[in-house]
Amino acid sequence: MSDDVPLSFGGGPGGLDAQFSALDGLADTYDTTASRAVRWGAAAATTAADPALVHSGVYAPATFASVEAGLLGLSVGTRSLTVNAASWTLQAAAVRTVSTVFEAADAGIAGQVDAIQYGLGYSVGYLVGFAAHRAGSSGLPQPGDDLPARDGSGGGADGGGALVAWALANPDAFEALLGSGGGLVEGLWDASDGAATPGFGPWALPTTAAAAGALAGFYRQGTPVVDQVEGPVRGQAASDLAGLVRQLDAVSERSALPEGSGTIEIRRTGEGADAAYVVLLPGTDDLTTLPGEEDQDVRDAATNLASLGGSPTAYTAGIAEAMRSAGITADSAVTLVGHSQGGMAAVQIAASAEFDVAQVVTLGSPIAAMPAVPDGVQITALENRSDLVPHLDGQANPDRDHLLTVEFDLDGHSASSAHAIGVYERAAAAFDASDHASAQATRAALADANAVGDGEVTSTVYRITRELPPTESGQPASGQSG
Amino acid sequence: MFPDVEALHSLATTYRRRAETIRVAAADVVRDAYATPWHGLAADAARDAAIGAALVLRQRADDHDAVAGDLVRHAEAVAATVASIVAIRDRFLEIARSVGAVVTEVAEFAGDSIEALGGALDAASGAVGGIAGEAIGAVGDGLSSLAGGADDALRERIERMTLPPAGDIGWLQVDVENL
Repeated sequence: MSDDVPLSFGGGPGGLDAQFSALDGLADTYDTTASRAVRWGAAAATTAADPALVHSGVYAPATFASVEAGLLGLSVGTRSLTVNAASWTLQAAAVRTVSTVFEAADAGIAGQVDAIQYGLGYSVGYLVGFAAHRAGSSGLPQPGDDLPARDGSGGGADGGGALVAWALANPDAFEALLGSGGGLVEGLWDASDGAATPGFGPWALPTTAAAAGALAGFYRQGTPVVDQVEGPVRGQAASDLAGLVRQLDAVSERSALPEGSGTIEIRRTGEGADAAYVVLLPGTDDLTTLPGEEDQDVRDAATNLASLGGSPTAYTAGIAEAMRSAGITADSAVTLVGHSQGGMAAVQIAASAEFDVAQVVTLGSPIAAMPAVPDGVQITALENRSDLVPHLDGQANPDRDHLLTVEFDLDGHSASSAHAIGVYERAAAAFDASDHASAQATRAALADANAVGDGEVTSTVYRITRELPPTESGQPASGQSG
Repeated sequence: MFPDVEALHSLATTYRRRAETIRVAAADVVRDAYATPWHGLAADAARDAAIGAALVLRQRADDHDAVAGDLVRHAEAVAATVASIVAIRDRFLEIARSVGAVVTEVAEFAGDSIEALGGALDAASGAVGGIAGEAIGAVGDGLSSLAGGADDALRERIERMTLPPAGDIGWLQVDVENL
């Protein structure tokens, strides 16, 4: 039974992108009607010259004249079908013009917002960086620097608590601040040489994703190591989305155990060509990893930044290896369910197009700037407005036909509680009970993909860790887990 | 050559069905216009335009029904004319048989256009080729009240006549009652 969690739906089948498609579809209908009207009019002209009709004319001239007059009226003249066809053609052109203008306006507005955010971020970053340099700071690290070899200029988190409190109270502003992430970081770096030359610097970071990717350059990803730790074991399929989230929660709890980090689960229904798979992907195990402190925990801050930047990671490579090991082929029906970093990994796996992913469900994942997925992949993104993590990409999810964003507001008293899987389970239950058309369509799609149902499943648990090359400063290839 | 009355009825059926097809198309396009998720003044104006054009389409559907009705009436009129032609020809042949006349009737031509038929009639006026002769034995039918001389005159008149083909509209010009 679900408590009453109000949901708001964006994108998906009812979103703007779908509306643009619907407008184009209406224009096509008008064009088709025009073509048919032209054919009907032409058919009337052909009938007027029909040999049997013409031959019969002398036998009843008066009635023949009435028939001919009626047919000519259908084919020529101001009341003809030809004129009506022209009306439909004009209307089709008008509707297409509106659709084009709407799409251009939508894109133009988005572009203007992005430009404003970038400009503000750059200004702030440059001023802060310039002031810090004048105050004697040793300068900001650049990607590729061996940070452990530098003097400890910290990553002090003294102001972190205040920042988190502010962000929880102002999630939209927090997202906007991060939306300027590219400009902010680029401004900081451009100012770090102490020269008063804003706008000139080696780094071009137009987006938050670019900034995240640049920061990810401080870390080492290493290579994945995949071990099968349990199964195959028979179990029960999830009956609905909330059931899938509960199963994901169980996998996530295993990850919290000693020697459990990096655990994922792959569940199979059916056999052979009818087999369908659900891949459950928990989120970050170690958020505190600093550059140079990477270890075998593959779901760490390094992977977060790399995923935000759209780069492949050891986690996604390990997931793909586990999927292949489980027997998933390019023709297998696959549903991916991921929380936080797991959701980002799910989108990256779908975007790689190695597998036939039909459905992706993300819970509290910043996916707005993630790579495009192939046609046919439907993403359902649950986002708690009080959860800071989905805002880390600095922008709202785009309105796309294939991307349904479901927002709600629960447990905003702390960053961790707002991000917990339990909160998303409550929202999933509300989704399962919702009569919104998009919710109904998604539930049907999950059932069609055999991601939910009342049958048996066979599940296998894998653990993904990473292997690291030695560092320049001589740190071992794989450190202790964080 | 007889006119094809069945073909006329078939055309009428075609136009009735097309009328219904057009009505369905008009309803479908209005339904699609309202189902499109588009709101605002422009959307309202576009829907009004679609309704207007669909109304015109329905009027053309009504016109198709009217044409179908005209075709049926025309087919019936043509059939009545053909019946008259058949009756006149049958009466003529009956009279010709009664006086033992040999009837000269133009055969049907393969061409089915009016021009071809007109040409055939022109060609047949010289009674050349394609003549279907019909020898009618002298059979008393009790209709002629004249003595043998009158029958001979009638027979000679009939045998001088160049008659149109069976089913031809020209039979309406044959004054059977005043032979």
